[in-house]
Amino acid sequence: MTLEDLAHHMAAWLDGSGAHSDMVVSSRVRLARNLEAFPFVHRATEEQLSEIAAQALTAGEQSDVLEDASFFDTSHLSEILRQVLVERHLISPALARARRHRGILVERRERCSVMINEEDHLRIQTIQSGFEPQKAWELVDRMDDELSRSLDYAYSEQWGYLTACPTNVGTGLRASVLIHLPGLVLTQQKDAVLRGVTQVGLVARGFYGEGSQIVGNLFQISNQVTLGRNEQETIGHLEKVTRELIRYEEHAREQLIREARFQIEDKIWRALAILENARLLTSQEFMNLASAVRLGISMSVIQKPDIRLLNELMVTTQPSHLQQRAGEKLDPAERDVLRASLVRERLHRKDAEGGEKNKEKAG
Amino acid sequence: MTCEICGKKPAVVLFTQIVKNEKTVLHLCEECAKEQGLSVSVEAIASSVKSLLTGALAAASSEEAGDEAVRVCPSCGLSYAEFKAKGRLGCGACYHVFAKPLERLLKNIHGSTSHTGKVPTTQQAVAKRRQEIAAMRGALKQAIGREAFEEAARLRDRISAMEQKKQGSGVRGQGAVVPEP
Repeated sequence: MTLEDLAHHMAAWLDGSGAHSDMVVSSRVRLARNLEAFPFVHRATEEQLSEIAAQALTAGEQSDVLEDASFFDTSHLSEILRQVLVERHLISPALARARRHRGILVERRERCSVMINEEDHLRIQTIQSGFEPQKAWELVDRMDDELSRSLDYAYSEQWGYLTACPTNVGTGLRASVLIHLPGLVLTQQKDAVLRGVTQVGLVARGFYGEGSQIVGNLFQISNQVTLGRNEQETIGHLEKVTRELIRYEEHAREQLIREARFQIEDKIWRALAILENARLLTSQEFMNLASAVRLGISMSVIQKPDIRLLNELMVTTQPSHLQQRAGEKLDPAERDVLRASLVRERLHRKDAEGGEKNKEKAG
Repeated sequence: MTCEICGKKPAVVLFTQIVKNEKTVLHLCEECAKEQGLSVSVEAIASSVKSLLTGALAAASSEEAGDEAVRVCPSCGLSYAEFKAKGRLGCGACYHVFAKPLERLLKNIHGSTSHTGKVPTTQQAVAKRRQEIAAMRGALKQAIGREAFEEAARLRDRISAMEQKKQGSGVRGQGAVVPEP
C-alpha cells in the first residue's frame, strides 16, 4: 500500500457507524509504550532509534490486528504527504517534522496504527466511528498484547508503564471522544459545561487535540489521569461523562427548537445552500457551515447529506488533502476555490454513499 | 487533583502550553488561575507558565529531595535539573533514580503514586515466576524443618535453576543501554 492509496481511501472511522454518530464523530484510544532496553526517544541515538523501529516493526509483523499494515517513515515523505497524515489524525504535528527512524505503522482502513519514535517509542492507537470508547479500548488492548509478545516494555510494578513524560505514566492510556456540541455553544452553556468536564478530571480540546483551536463546534474530550486508575475505570469514566454531555446537548437543542425554531432552521438551510453553491470556501467557513448542516441532520431538519459524507469532507477539504488531490502546492486562495468545488461536487452527487473510492472509479 | 499553586483547592483549570515542542501542563484551582490571569487571556500568561511549572518542580525537589536536584541517572545521564527544564525523563531507570522528587509531582498530576492497571504479558511471566520461587522457598524451609534433606536438596536445585532462568531473561537488553561517562 502506498500513501497515495491511503489518501484515496476513506478511513473507517469516518463511515458514520457506531453509537450516537450524529453527535460523537469518533472515539480514540492510545497507549504509550517504551522498550526497556533503550533510553526514551529524546535521549536516544540514531542507531538506537533505528533499532527501536526495527523491533517495533518485527513485532507488528506478528500482530493479527496489524496484518495488512504498512510503515511510512516520515523522513521519506514529502511535506504535503506528512501533513496529509496529520490531517487524517494518524500522526501528531511533532512526528510530521520528518526526522529519521520515525513514522507510522498503519493498517489499511486506518482503524489501528502505531506511531513509532514519537514522544514515546510506541504510541499504539485506534480510532472508531461514533461513541465507541469500549470497542476502541478492546482493540488497542489486543494490539498491545500482540506486540508485547515480542517486545520488552519499560514497566515497574510501582508506576506501571514508564513514559517520557510523567503525565502519561501508569496505564499510558489516553482515551478521547470527538463530540459536536453546537447546541451548548448557541445557548451559551459551553463554558459552564466544559468547566464541569474539567472538574471531573477530563480535558476539553480542539479538533487536533493538544494546543489546537475549537473549530466547527467540535470538542475533543479526554482523560488526564493515567496513574492510580485502571484502564477499565478510565474508559468507563469517559463514557459516563460523554453520556452526560450528550444529554446536555440534547436539552440545549430542545430549548433551541422551543425558543428559536425558525432561526435555527433558517441557519441550517442557509448553511446547506451555501455549501451547495459557494465558489470560495475557507476551511474555517466550511467547518462552521458543516457544523450547522450536521446539526440539521441530527435534528431531522434536513435529510441529506448523510453524516458519512460530512465526515469525509471534514478530512478531504483540509489544505494538504486538497494539495495532494491537485498534485501541486496551492496558495490559500487557490485552495478556497478547489475546496468550494469539491464540496459542491460531492453534495450534488446523487449517490453520496460510495465515498471517495467510487469517485475515483467514476472519475 | 489539587491545585499545583496553592495545593489546597481542587484543580479545575488545566493549562497546557507547547513551545518549540516542549509541553508544560498545570492544574490550577479557579482562584489561582484567575490570579495568574488565566481566565482573562491565555496569551498574557503563556510566558509565565513555564516558570510556574519549573517552580512547582523546584518546590517538589527542594522540599522532598534536597540534594536530589544534582543527581544524575546512571543509565542515561539525565540530571534532575534537565528534567525540570524539559519536563521529560530520559529512560525507565530515571523513575527509580528520581523516585523521591517524582513522588510529589506524580501525586499532583495524577492524585496517586501507584499503578493499578494492566501488567505486560512478559512482566506477568516474571511476576508469576517470582511467586513460584517464593512458594518453593517456603517448601524448602519446611523440608529442612522436617529434616527431609533429600527433598530439600531437590528443591534447592530447582530454585537455583529457576533463578538462573530469570536472570537469563533479564539479559535480553544487554549492551543496549550504555551509561554515559
